[in-house]
Amino acid sequence: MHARSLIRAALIAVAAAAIFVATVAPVALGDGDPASDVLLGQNVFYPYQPPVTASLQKTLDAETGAAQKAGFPIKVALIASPVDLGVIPDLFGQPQKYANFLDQEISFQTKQRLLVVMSTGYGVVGFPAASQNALGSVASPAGKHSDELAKAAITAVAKLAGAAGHPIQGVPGVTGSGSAGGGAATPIVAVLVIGALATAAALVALTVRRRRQASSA
Amino acid sequence: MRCARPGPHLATISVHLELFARRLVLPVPAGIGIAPPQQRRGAYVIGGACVYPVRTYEPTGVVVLDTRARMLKLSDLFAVWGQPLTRRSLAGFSGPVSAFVGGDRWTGGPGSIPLRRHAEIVLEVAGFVAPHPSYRFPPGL
Repeated sequence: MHARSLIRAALIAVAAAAIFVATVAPVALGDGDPASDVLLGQNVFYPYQPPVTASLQKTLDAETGAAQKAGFPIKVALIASPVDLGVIPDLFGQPQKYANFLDQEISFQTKQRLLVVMSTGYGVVGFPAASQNALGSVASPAGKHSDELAKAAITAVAKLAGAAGHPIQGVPGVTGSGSAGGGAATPIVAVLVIGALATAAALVALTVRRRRQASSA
Repeated sequence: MRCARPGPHLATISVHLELFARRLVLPVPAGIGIAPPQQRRGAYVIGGACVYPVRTYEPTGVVVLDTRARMLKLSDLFAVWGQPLTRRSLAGFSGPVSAFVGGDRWTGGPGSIPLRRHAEIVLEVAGFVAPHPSYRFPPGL
């Protein structure tokens, strides 16, 4: 039973691979970096070690999903160490060079928008000039930890998409996405607004009460 | 080979496999040697009903092997995968198959390549792509 199912699954996988090969237009220049394989099946490649915190993964997955829905799909590769580059560890620390390499591998059917994040900065391919200019204002990751790369990617994706006229909407944890959960300043603003409304309501109630008291006297 | 439930402390090693047909990359899929129903997370297969001593969890070409299994060969992986591997056939593609281990040409049949820890294995059919000599494996593999 299991063997039969296994064979069936394998045949499907090979058929998909065969279709993939048959539809590839350019000559493959290389392989062996994990991101090039993983990004065929999902929007974000996450580093092996240490793993990105689940909540950050959820945010970045949702953000790239929202960008895709908005008609602006973006592939993201977070590279925390040479291990994440497989057969080409020499490209560690060179995000733009690796972005160019990765682009040749994953843009076989349609041109992909690609963002590579390393602790040294960003590499991008396929974005309009406005997006690239906007990325110039985004600070490099705060450190080498995988979570810091993910946080930087969350900011960068929002900037890239927003500058291209596709702002990310409704993703908790993404600043400027219009979500209730967005931005560290949001709770403070909410408290201030609620406080101001409560004060105004109290003043109105007090004024009405005094007028009633004055009219009854 | 037997499909068994994975133990919590199953010791494993890994090798890296790259396939090329007509000078194009032929992806090694995730989930080889992992029986349905498979649990997937994105492009990864993270579990299944049972696992074979040779299997893939990710679509990167990293192949995981149980250390307690006998010395496995590349033919074992292709048998579990259900794909042909001979001197003239590679996963549905026909022509002379070239094999490289650690960047060096393998003169025997490709199926006889032993799956040793951290081996970098490249198979090519109908065209030549310069083989990578090594692969940087993730910690713990």
